[in-house]
Amino acid sequence: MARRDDAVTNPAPARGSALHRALDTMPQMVWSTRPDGHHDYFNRRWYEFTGVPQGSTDGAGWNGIFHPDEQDLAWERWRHSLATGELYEIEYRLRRHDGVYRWVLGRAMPVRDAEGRIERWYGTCTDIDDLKAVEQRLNRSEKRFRSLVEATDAVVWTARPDGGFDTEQPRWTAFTGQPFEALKGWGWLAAVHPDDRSLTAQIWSKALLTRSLYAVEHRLRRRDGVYRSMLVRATPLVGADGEVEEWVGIHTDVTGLKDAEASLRRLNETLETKVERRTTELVRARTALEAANRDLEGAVRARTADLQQANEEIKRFAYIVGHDLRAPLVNIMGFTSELETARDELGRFYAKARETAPDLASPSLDALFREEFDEAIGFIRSSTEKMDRLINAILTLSRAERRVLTPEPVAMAAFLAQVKAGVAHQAAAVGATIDIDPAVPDIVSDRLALEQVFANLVENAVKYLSPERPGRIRLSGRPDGDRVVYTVKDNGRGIEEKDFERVFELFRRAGVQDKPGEGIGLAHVRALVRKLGGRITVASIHGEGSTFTLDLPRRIADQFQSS
Amino acid sequence: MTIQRPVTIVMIEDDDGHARLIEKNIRRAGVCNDIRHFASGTAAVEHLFNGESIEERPILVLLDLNLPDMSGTDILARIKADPRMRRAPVVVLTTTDDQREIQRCYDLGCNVYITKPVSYESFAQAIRQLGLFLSVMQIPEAP
Repeated sequence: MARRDDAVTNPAPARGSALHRALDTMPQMVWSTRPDGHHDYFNRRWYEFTGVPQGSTDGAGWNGIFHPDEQDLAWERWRHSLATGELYEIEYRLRRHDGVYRWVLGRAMPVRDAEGRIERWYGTCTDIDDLKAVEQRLNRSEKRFRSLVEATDAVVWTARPDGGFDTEQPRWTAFTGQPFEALKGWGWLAAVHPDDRSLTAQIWSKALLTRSLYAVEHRLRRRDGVYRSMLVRATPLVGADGEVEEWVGIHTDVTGLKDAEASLRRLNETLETKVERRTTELVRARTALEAANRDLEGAVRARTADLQQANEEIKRFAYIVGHDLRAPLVNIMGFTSELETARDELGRFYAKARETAPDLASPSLDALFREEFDEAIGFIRSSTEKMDRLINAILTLSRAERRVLTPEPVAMAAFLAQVKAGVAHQAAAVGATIDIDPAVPDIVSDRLALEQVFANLVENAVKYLSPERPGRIRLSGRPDGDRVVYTVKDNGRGIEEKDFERVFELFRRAGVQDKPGEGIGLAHVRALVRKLGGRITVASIHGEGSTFTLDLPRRIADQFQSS
Repeated sequence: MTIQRPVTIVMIEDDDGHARLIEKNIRRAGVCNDIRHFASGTAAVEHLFNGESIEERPILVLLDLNLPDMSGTDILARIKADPRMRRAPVVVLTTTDDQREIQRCYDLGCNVYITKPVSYESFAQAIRQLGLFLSVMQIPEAP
């Protein structure tokens, strides 16, 4: 209740009084009112801050320099405090002398007399604009943090320095469904997977003790009962006194990552299994292939052995046939001679009988003794001799096959000169010349076999020259890697192409049969050349000449080792 | 020189024709010795090693290599390995003129190796030389 005389009994601090001076020196804005709320005093700081003229804010004038948004609120509060005597407290924006509104904290308290009646109100205004700005920044920062937390689905929590939860943990509750009652203290641990609790408690305790970063991974039960893998990080907030004020922690759901990791691992394992299986298959395939190869080698060996055996049998056959055919020939020839002897005896007897008893003679008996015995015996003889030559040829070939080769270095130019000397007589008889290439390459081979080969070829060349031109025979050769190629070239009658193979066959001859021969020379040559590890071929133009080409290994020893 | 004691010619020859021709030519060469012909190796071996004792009568063996029942070289080897028989001359008379075969026979102790030529003149010639050979050869006494 305001009374008129209050102003007298409780005056404003008098100018020049000790109180007045004290109030003027305060850094805060101070004001005072009468019990009815009439402002009748403002200290120097007020006027300095607001820049308003002295006394212009007395009464209710102060309200005018408040920010328009807070004028009504401030008036209302002030009237409320005046009516009730309660503490007046309000934050508002006050216009400074430069026109800038700054946040201030206004407070006022009543001073009462002995009877409890309000004598005066004393109030202060404190510039809290800087604090307010900090607060706003904090608010903004927290808001950002919250939106970040919302955005990340993270469970953020705060805990006491002893590790218990003592405040509501809305995010935790939202995730786990644990109400505050359940989670408070160390109750939160119940939401952690039973298998992970011990380790979690251990690491959490250690972090609390050492005040170091808390880092753990555990499974946390979601409100739907599903355990989710959580990455947990917490850090202590240390106060000015160096003591831990609280822990701020965050749970991040990494189940997706874990699943991805697990499936990646599974994929890797699957891949490894696949690779392993494939490798096993490959190894098995290779083993099978090796086995097949071994079988193949065995089959080849068996086949080779069969062939060698067959070859041996053929050689033996040729040898035996040679002998067994010969034995009857000996008898044919022998008893033919015996018949001849008998014929001579009979002839002499017939001649004597003719003289003594001419009537016994007849023209047919005359013819018998004169011609027919001779003719029959002549055919038997020539046929037998021919057969003997054929058998000898078979024996020669058979022996060539059976002979063991003896490799030795052969200086070919000198060797061919010897071959040439061997046919010099026949060559001179037909007027043929034989040239030897002086650069002919040397060879390591069987000399005897070579002699038979070249002698046969050169003899043939001399034998089958063309009567139309002087014979020219050329012997030459060239190296060809680990082989040597020799040629025997003539300008003779030549061989028809259809006979290129036939001339090498046993008992076969080609062309006009005007020269003696059994048809074994070239067959023999081919057998020898094959035995020496080589090949022989012929190229010829009928009527112009032939070239026999020998392809032989440079060293026959190599050939032996390989066979 | 003459043969001081009658020598029996043991002819081992499976070909009867050959045997006959050989005998004829031996006779033509003027050799009158007894000729015992065996047409198989088995029969010849039986006679040589189990027949009449070599002490009683010296022998000369005419041997064909190509026998149906055994190899002539085996007979040659057995003769030359037998202490009583090894001094008996062995003339190999066969169709084979293979150098290695000839060498092998000489290695085994064959005294003369004669190839049976198909040409009858050569054959007769060879046998006549054999006859000459027989006539000049000193057949050793059995020990």
